[in-house]
Amino acid sequence: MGTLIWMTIALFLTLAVFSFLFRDNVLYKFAEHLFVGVSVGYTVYVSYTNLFLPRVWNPLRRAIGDGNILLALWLALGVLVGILYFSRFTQNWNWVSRYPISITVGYLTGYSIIPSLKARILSQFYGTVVDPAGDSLLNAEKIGVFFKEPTLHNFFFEAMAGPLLVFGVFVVIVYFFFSFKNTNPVVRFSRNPALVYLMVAFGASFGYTFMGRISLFIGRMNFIFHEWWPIFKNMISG
Amino acid sequence: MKTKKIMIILWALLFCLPVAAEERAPLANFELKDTPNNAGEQVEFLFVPAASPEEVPEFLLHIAIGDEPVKERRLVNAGKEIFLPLITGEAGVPVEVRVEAVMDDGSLKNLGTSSLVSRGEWLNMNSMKAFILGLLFIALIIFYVGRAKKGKDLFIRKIPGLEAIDDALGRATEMGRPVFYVPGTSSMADVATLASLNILRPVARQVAKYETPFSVPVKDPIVVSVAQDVVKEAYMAAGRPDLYDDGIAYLASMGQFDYSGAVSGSMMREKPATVFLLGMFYAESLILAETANSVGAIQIAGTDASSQLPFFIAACDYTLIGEELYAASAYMSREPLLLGTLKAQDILKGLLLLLFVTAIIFQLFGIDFVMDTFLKPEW
Amino acid sequence: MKRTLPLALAFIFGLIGIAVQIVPALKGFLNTMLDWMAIIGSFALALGVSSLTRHHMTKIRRKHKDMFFSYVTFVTMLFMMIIGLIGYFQPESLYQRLFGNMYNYVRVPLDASMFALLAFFITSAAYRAFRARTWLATVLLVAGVVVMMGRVAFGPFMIFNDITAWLMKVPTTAAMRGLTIGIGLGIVATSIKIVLGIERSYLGGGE
Repeated sequence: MGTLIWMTIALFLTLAVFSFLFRDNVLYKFAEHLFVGVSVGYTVYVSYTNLFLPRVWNPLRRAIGDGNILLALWLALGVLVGILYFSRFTQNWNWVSRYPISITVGYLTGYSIIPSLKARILSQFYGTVVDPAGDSLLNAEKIGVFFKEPTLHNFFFEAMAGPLLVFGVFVVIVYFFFSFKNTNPVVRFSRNPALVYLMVAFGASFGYTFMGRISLFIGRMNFIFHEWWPIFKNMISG
Repeated sequence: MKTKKIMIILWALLFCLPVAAEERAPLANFELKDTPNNAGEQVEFLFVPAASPEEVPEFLLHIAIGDEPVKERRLVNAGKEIFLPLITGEAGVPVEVRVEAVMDDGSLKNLGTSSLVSRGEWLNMNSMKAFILGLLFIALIIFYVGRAKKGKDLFIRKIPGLEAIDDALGRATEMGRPVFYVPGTSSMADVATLASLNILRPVARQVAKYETPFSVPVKDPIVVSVAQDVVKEAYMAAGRPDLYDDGIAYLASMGQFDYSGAVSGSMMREKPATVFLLGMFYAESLILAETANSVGAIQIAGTDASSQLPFFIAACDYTLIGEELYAASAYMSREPLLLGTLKAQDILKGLLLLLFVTAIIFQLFGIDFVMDTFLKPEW
Repeated sequence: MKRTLPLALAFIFGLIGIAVQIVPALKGFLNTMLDWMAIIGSFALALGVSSLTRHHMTKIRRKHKDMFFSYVTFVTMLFMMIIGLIGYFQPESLYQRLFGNMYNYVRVPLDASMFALLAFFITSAAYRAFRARTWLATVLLVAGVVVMMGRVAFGPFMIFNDITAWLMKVPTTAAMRGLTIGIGLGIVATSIKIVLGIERSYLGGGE
């Protein structure tokens, strides 16, 4: 019985969310505000049990217990810096909250520089020409495959794949030059091919995700018809 | 007769040779190596079995790390080489691995010992290429910022999504409907969030000037406080501190879909005329964009999440694609400092493209040197 | 104090962020630093909750017509926090079961249903894209339709499958790589600007 009640609540909330598609209504408003309350309450709980206790309170106690004064001081300093956020609750001292903010922002941005250069720039350039196995994508062999067996498949998948890939990467990068005038021949020439590449990519990604999104809805219908309904039917038929 | 004897002995020796050779051939090759580019917290043990699995089904390792008790570990001989990272924790720890072969009859045979002391390096050479590239970038930025400060005019091409901002804000004012600004759904850890907050400032200033109702629903607690500061300073700069309220930027919720549910609900009720969706987005991008469209808002979107760009492109009136989001703060403020950085960014991009093309040309002639030296990332 | 010190802190901690990447000896420190960031961040949570509370309090004070729903948010938020924490300290208790049920039968279905709304939104977005007039939008549309068909292709339509594979492997990869490189430069430029103190919007901007 308990399960059925909870599952009926879940069913009701599912339908309340879907009712938003027709128009904003009381059911949706209720579901939305309930969702926010449950979610924020849950986040606070998780932050306390999974963040504050294991990463602040327990290490601090352990560090003091072990006599690791340096670590204890460092953690305590972190707590102190964190407490500076509370200055926002005051009228005249709220600028103090900039300290924890600038520490967080400074560290996170500094930390992101080298990984971004590696993963987003070097790897991308390198991966355009060299496949994961270490072979060049631009070699005569691949073109040779086409001449040995001139099929459409070989033309697009073997002979032209590497060159078109490199060309695409090149024009797309040039498209995002900001400080060159449109009269620059390279910029002018790259513009249309770059847009075609981008639009094909966006269209293809859109299409690729489409079915996945539809299946989400099917998943909810499965819940209603294959999880809730059998339990409900059992209950009624006794 | 004597010759015959010698011949017999020689023949016998010849038949013995393979046996002797087999005796001498190692059953396995192994070596302890210092892991490069670390602080000495780990060393590596590389093990290559030479004997067949039938002959030696298993090997037995006796691993001694520092003062810890010796650990035994069995390696099943699958004929493949085995890479074993050994955790030392710090530099200067002696490590010793003694290897025994477990023969098919169950007897043990000592194969020898390999040992070393873990060593730490000062620099992670794997990151050096990226680090030098970063230094080059900083040098370019300093150079071009200097030039911009001297008043050299720096051109910047039109970015349609940003050109549209003024009109979109004007439209909201005319219709007397609010403006919504969603600074992405990530935290400060994403640089896109910072880029979005940079755009929030000129938008908020304009909104204050027009006296348009403004709402900035946020998902992350730290972003809320930064957004509040940004909006407040913008209202002051516009000379309208009287219109400012701490509730303009508020935390709508903390989870992905509860946030999008709450923001969509607010859009339905308040019917904004203009909605900005700028920053880092995940799957919720389309919920926000489509709801904004259904209330007739102009949507100006922008993200560096390439997986969400297709949805913004399909659903929104204007989209800042990837890098345009980062160029926006320079574009809108026209501050020489920021324009100088943008120029430096273009120059570095040009240099990288040049390097890329050169590397490709060399590679076409079978020379991988340029590609491997300059563009191959090491992890 | 109000501006110079925060900028200096951003600079110093930015350098620390870079240093932990290139000096292996600092790896242990990196983990301590991550803990530190988590500690600082955990205090920000109070700001978030207070901002949310304020937002709904204002609605209630102004007797907004939806003020009832603001009460819903308050009550459930407090309820989740209280039963969650009591349940944490009294495992196997009624509170913990209640908390688990609230999570599994309230939060999870709401999350999944909100996510599932995307099925409708992606359809309406596709429909609007269908009416597009420019040639670029047509390119987008054609690529989208081909890939949609390729994903469900069978029998004689298997050609769409091949075209899809090629579209994903060549032009899509090319465009995404080009985009990613540009974005990477944007991220690094913004990061450098922040560490060097050129970009200071995150401190409220202005001078």
